[in-house]
Amino acid sequence: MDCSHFSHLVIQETMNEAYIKTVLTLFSTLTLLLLITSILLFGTKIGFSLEDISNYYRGNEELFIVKKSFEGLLETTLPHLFSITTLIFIVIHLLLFTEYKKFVPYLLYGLLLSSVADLSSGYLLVANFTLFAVIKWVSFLIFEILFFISIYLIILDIMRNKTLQISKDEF
Amino acid sequence: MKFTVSKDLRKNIVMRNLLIAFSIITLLFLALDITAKTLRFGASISEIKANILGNEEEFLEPLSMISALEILHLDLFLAIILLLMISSIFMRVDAKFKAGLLSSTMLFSIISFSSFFGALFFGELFVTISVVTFILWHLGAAWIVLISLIWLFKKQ
Repeated sequence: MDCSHFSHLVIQETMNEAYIKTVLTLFSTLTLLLLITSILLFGTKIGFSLEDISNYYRGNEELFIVKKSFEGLLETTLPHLFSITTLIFIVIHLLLFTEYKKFVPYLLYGLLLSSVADLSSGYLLVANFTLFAVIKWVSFLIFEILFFISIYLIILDIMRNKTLQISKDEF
Repeated sequence: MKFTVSKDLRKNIVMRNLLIAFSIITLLFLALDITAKTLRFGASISEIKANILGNEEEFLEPLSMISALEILHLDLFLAIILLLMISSIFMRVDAKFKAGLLSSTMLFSIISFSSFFGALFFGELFVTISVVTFILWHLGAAWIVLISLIWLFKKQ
């Protein structure tokens, strides 16, 4: 029996496995860098204290900080609505192929709710609902933590050699 | 989700045409990204260094932390989407050094972004590394797209 065809398939399968692992590892690294830049941006642009958050959105005459306009907020919200949703979709759909898929509903709802709270709290702060400074801070923190956990689970799965499910089932 | 479950994308004419259009637009994006960065930071290493690190003789202010982070944040998102999309097409292509080409392209992009940020603290060497790796990852991505395009145009 000629086994060359099968050996070719095995090699192809191994190549795809290596390929998928490489893509996922480097994708996770790039996403981690994106998360780090978002934390740094939050820290340098807004600030981590509740007072900083309130000042950034509601303005402060003593510190010469202008109150955020609706147009200005919309300019930030619009691209983030698209990009956050896309990234959540990519990361959660990758998690579905791992052995950690049981965490997917919690992570998905957590990420979606925290991102909605994060993006909308700016508007409510401008409308003088000062409590939303706390919600902005907490939702941003929850979003970042959940995203880090999602990426960590993907990396953990790659290291445990469980990503073959993708190549066998889909490619 | 036909795209993720089809083994040979060329069998579906609509999918094939869609991916050809996507690949051509991706090539255009890569070329325009280089053009936009050249217009923003300059065409030579010395110009880029002056625009990022500042130059007292030319009265150029260094790039602020917020501006650098905003550029990085946007570019990282675009790179993630672009690299993920082209890698999912490239996966179907029968090409040698497939994993090597893609991983080096992604690695160059990671080094480029990290060194761009590092340049704000550690100076000129990181600017050079960032520029070189920026060009390399764009060339790598363009090469991947070109190979995928040739594969898509090929008859089975």
